[in-house]
Amino acid sequence: MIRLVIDFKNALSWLSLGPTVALAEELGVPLALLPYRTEVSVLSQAEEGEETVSERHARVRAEYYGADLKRYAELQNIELIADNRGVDSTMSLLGLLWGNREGVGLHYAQTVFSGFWSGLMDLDDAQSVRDALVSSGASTFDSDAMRAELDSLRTSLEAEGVFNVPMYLVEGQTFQGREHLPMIRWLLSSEEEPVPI
Amino acid sequence: MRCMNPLISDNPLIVYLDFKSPYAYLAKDPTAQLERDYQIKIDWRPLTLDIPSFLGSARTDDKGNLVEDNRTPRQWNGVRYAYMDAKRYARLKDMILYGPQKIWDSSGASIGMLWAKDHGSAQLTAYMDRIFERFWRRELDIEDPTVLETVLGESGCAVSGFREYLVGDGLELHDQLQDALHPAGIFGVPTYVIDGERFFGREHLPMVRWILGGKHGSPPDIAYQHFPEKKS
Repeated sequence: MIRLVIDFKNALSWLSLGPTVALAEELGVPLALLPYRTEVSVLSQAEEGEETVSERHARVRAEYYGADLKRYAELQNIELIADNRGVDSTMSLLGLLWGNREGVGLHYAQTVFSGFWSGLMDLDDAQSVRDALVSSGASTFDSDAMRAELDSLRTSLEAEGVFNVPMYLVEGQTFQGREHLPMIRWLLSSEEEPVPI
Repeated sequence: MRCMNPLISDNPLIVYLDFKSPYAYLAKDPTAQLERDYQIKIDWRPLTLDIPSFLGSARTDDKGNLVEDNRTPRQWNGVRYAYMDAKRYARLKDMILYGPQKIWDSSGASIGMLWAKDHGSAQLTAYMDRIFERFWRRELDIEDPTVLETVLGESGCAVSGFREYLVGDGLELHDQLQDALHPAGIFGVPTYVIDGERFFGREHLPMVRWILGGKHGSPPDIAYQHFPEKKS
């Protein structure tokens, strides 16, 4: 079993989905998608010449990660048009719990990631979430029914070491980022060579 | 004294490392493999991390008790995860990696790297191997010039003049390079620079290899992936 913890407003979660689905299918193991709400970091507004070392480091790092996301998104033909700053993804995450319950979580996640990052879907709009669920094969959507579950899931995930997304929970270990897929493959393949680096 | 442009080298690949980074230590050997697999010379360079500026600071005593803490909960999550993660990969390679008890000033070891580099690639490799391995076993005080001098000598470098270099030309070259890194978009280790493009983290080794190999086929995704040694 691979458990992948995601947030729809996190682009790395979107980039991790395809390779993770491919690995789960290749290994014949079940994949569970678990919702976890994250915050988008806000950079200091200091002018470039007036930054502290910390602010400059954060800006340079953020600029790098933005460019890095773009180059690897292009490899998967993924569009990253949306602005995720200030977005509350809670409604869409409630939708994922509902979708999981109805057995359409993966299809729903692909629909929501694609819709949001193409700039065509609001993650906090109940009607948009309902539409995504219905188009994925769910019957309806009752967000209120899932709120307590989303909160308790957050608590239990954090108890397992989750603090960000995308994170994987495999064989009692936590992994942050899809770069760990070779390790996950190794763990789920009876630890045969080659050993990941 | 020569100056270094952070993004330009006579060699096809620049690699930035810091001895106090466990991720740099994990990257060293799979990165060095590129020299053998692609018959290239890597331009190894030091990047001395200013860790408190992005991860806060903390210090423990000999028993592991926290005696100083200037980190936010978010920073602690990141730091704890990073060491746990680095250690599990280190275990797979039988590398010993003990968590440091304080944030070390690795600038002297970085200047030692520049000194070793001037003596030749074999000396530089021997120096990097020794410093990384012993530092992460907690056997090396990398802030002690005498210790650095000893390791340089063991690595086949002349040591006469190193003390002066450490506070003179070497320090100046080191500081000039460090000052130029952020403006060039370089902030962490390991960083790979190839064709002027920057890649942060050993997860980009598949992409670096794809570029070095002539960009045949589809570009690969990030991965901590093992590559068997190419047969010459």
